[in-house]
Amino acid sequence: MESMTETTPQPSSPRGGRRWGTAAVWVAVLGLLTLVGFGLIRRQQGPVGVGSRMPEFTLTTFDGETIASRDLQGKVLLVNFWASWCIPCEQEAAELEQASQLYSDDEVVFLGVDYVDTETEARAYLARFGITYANGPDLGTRISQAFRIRGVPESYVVGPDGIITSVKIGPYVSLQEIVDSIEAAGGGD
Amino acid sequence: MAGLHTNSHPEPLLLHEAKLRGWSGGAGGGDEVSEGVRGFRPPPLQENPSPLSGDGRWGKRDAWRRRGGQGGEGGTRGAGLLALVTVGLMLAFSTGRASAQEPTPSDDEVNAIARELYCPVCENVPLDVCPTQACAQWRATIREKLVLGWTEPQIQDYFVAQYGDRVLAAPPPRGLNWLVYLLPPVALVAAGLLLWQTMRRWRRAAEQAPIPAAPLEADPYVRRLEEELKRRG
Repeated sequence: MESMTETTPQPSSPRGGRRWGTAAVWVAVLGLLTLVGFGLIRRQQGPVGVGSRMPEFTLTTFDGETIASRDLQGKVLLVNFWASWCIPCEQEAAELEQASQLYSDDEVVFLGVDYVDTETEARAYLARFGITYANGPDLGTRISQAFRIRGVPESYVVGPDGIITSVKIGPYVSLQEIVDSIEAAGGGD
Repeated sequence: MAGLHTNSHPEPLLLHEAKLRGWSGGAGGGDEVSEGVRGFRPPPLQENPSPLSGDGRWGKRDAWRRRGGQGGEGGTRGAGLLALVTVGLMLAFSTGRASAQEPTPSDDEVNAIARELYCPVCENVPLDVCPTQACAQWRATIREKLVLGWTEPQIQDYFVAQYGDRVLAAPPPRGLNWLVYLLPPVALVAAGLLLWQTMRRWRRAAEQAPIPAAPLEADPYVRRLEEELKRRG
């Protein structure tokens, strides 16, 4: 390569231009591969795990109330992702409502995030299970993307310091399981 | 965005309900039918006992009867029966108050929009052919929005706001999405250039390559073959 450069006195020769073109193509290909690689790594990361800081989000409830996660610092938070078309979500719906009744809003906050759903069916679902804690749609799937959920139902319990203390993939099997995860996060002390 | 959720939406119009409502065929047809129904509505019986009273034939018969003429029981019974049938027909056609027809989007109209959207939870399944219950709900949402008079771009924007860009058949040209639009033509042009350059190089190499002009006699195999032929021949 060096010898070729030495023997080619004019840098603006067609061969030199071709070399620059080839280098540009390689740079573009490598850039593209890097992007694809980052995308794949992000996809393979899995959900936000225990010990991680909870992603910040804002939820607008079906009642029009706006709840910002940063305003809930100092409280235990249970974020439950669900959908009206999700049959396993029905298994835990009543228990989640029962659990929410056990704690005051000052110490434990329950938030339902309705993942890709229609409002009519979502409201019917909430009415069917008598759910009274705050629920709202995941507009643009921003919250579920921030938590990198894999499906519904998924629940995240967050301690008063904003650190996730437990992740439940799939439905809670009992009221006791919900209570245990909340108390492990410092709720109900 | 939040407003979309705080608004109360009417129940989705079911297909059978739409068909029942749309029997007159659209808003214009509905108005015509409404007029038609109103036209069939019977006049108050107390004020005008016969639909053709006055100068009509029945009116004359009534006047004749009132004058004490002999219509006979059969004639009275026949006229009564006819009146009953007429009133019955009129009532049959004027059941309930006719209301303004709402435009009811057809399945084709709904699917035309659903075709451009993808199921947010299934992988790569267009909404118009997606068989899940959730997709049926989303198609019902499209129908609901069409009934409200929303346009296709408005409905698409609503779906993007609700479920993200993933519902679109083609990603919106912004940010890294531009790569999707730019890379294919750039790659095509680059491939064409590469092909053209390679072919030119091959052609030039073929033109410049010296044709081997070695005499046949120099080839030992040819020489041996010649000798063999001479010996045998």
